Amino acid sequence: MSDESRGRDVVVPERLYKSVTVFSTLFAVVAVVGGFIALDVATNAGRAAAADVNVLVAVLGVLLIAAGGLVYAFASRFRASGMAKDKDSGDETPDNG
Amino acid sequence: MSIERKDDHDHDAWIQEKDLTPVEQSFLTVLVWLDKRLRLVDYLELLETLYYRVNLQMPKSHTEQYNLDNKFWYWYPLYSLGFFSTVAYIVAAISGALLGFYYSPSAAAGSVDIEGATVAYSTVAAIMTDLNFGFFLRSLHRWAAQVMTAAVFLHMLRVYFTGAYKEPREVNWIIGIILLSLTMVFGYTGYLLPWDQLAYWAGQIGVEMSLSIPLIGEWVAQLMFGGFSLGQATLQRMYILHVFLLPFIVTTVIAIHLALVWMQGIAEPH
Amino acid sequence: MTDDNSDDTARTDGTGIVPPDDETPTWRERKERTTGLSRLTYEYFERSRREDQDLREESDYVERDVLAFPVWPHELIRNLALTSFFVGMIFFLSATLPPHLGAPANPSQTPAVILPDWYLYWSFGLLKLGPLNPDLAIIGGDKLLADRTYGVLANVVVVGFIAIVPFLNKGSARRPVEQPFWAAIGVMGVVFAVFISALSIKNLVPMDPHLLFDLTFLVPPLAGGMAYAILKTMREGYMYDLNRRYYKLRPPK
Repeated sequence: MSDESRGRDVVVPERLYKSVTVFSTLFAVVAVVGGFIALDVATNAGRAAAADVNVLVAVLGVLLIAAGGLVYAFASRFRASGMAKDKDSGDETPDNG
Repeated sequence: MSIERKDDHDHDAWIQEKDLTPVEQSFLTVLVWLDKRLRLVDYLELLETLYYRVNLQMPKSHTEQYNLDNKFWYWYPLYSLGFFSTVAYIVAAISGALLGFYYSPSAAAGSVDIEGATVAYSTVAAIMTDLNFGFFLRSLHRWAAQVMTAAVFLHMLRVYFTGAYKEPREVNWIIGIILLSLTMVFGYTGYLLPWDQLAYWAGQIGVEMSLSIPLIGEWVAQLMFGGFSLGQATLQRMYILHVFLLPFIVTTVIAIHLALVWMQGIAEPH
Repeated sequence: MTDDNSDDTARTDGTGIVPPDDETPTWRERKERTTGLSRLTYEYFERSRREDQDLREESDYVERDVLAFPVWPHELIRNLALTSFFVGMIFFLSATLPPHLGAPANPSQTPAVILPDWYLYWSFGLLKLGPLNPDLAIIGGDKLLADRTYGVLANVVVVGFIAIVPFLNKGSARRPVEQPFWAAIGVMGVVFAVFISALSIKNLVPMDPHLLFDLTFLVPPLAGGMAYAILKTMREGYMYDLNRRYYKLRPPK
C-alpha cells in the first residue's frame, strides 16, 4: 500500500505521541459512549414511536459518535519515531528484538 | 509522582518549526494545552514503568524459550484452573459461613406453611425470601461450589494432558484425586441440606450406594447416614460433615497440595 | 561478546547479553538508546531468562529432566488476571440465576426424576452397569456379584486406575504429540465419562436407552483410536525437526 493511499503520516516526539494517544482516545471514547446515550435518550432506547423521537437530541448523538470516530481516525496519523507505520511494513530494523 | 517536572520538551516550539497543516497544528495545540493542565500521561507513565518492572521478573513463555513453532500448545489459560478452584473454594467458604448463621439442620416441622416443610427447609426458604440479599448469598454459595467442582475436573484433565503428573509429582497427583473425591463429597453433603425432594431422594441413593459396598456396607450406611431410612440423624450428620469436618480436612489437603506445587514449581510445557 | 574475566565458572550476576547490574541504565536511558518497545521487552526477557539459568546452574539443585518455573510471581500474576475475571463471572451468575428450591422432602411420594448433582452422574452411571455383570453358568446363571456391588466395584476400578497413572506412564514426554497412546487413553476416558453420564440420566436423554448403552462402549474406543491416529500423524511430521532446543534441555529417554 503506498504512502499516499494510507494518508498523511506525522512523526512527533514520544512525549507528544503519548499525549495525542491519551487525549484523543479519551475524547473518542467519551464522545462515542455519550453519543449512544444521547441516541438512547432521544429514542427511549429504540422503543419510541417515530413521532416521539426527539430529533435534536438524536442528531446530537449521531454527531457525537461521528466526532469521536473522526478524532480517533485523525489522531492515528501521528506516530513516534521508531514506530512502524503498520504491522506489515518492514519499517523496523532487523536487530529490533 | 514527584513534584519536579519530568518533561522539558518544548512542544510549542516544535509545533512551530514542524511543517504541519493548520488542522493538525490546532489539534496538537489543543492536546498539549489539555496535557499541561491534566497531566494524565504522567499516571500512564507510572503504569508503564510498572509494566517494565514486572517484565523484569517475567521469563519467556515456554513456546518462546524453546523456539516452538506450534503456538497451539500455548495452553496458558488452562494452567490457571487450579488457582481458580482455590479461589472458588474461598468464595464458597465465606458465603457458606454467612449462610450458617441462618440455617438450622432440624427435621422437625418448620414454620413455612407448606405440608411436610421441616425447619431446615423453612430456614432455607427464609434465606431465599426474607433475608436481605439472602437469595444472592445462597446463589453465590451454590454457584461457587458448582464452578469449583467443574474447575477441579478440568484442572485434572489439564494436568493429565500436559503430563504434569510425572516424576516428581506423583504424590501430588494422588493428593489431587483425594481432593477431587472430597470435593464431590462436599458437594453431595451440601446438596442434601435444604431437605427438599431432590435432597431427600439423592440421600436415598446415597444410602443404597453405601449398602451395596461389600462387607462394610451396612456399617458405612449407619456411620454416614445414621440409619437405613432418612431422618433427623441423616440431616444432622450431613450438616456436621459439611460445615465441621470437611472444611478442615479439605483446607488442610489443599494447603498440602499447594505447598507441593510451590516447592516443585509449575510443570512444563506451556 | 568477549569479557575481561575469562574464568569458566558459571556467572551468577545475570550478565552476558545485557549490561551488568552496576551499569544498568535507567529506564529513560534505556528507552533513548534502544530502537523501540520490542527491543526493550526483548532485553528484559533475555535478562530474566539468563538470571533464571544462572541461578539454576549455581544452586545445588540436582539437574533433572523436569524443568519448572516458580509459582510466585510468574504463575500467580497471570493466574490472578484470569481468575479475577472468572470470580466476576461467579458473582454475575449468582445474581442472575438463583438456585431452585423444590418441594419439601416427602418420603411417601417418589418423584419421577431422582438425580444427584451433575458431577456425580459418571459415578451414578457406573452403578447402572448391571447388564455387563457376567453371570456364571456353573452356579446356575446366578450372578457372582450383586449388580449394585458390581457398580461400586466399577467406581473403585476407575478411580484406582486414574490414581496409578503416574506409575504406569513414565518418561519425560509432556505433550500429547509426544505420547499419542496416553493422550488417546485420556480422550477415551473423557468421552466415556460423557457417555456414562448421559447413560445415568437415560430417561432424560432423547435416545433409545439400548442404543445409548451400546454407544457408551463403542464410541470411546473409537474416539481414542482417532486421537491416536491424528497425534501419531502429527508426530511424524513435526516433532523431531522442530523442537531441537527443547530436547537439548530435556532429552527423550
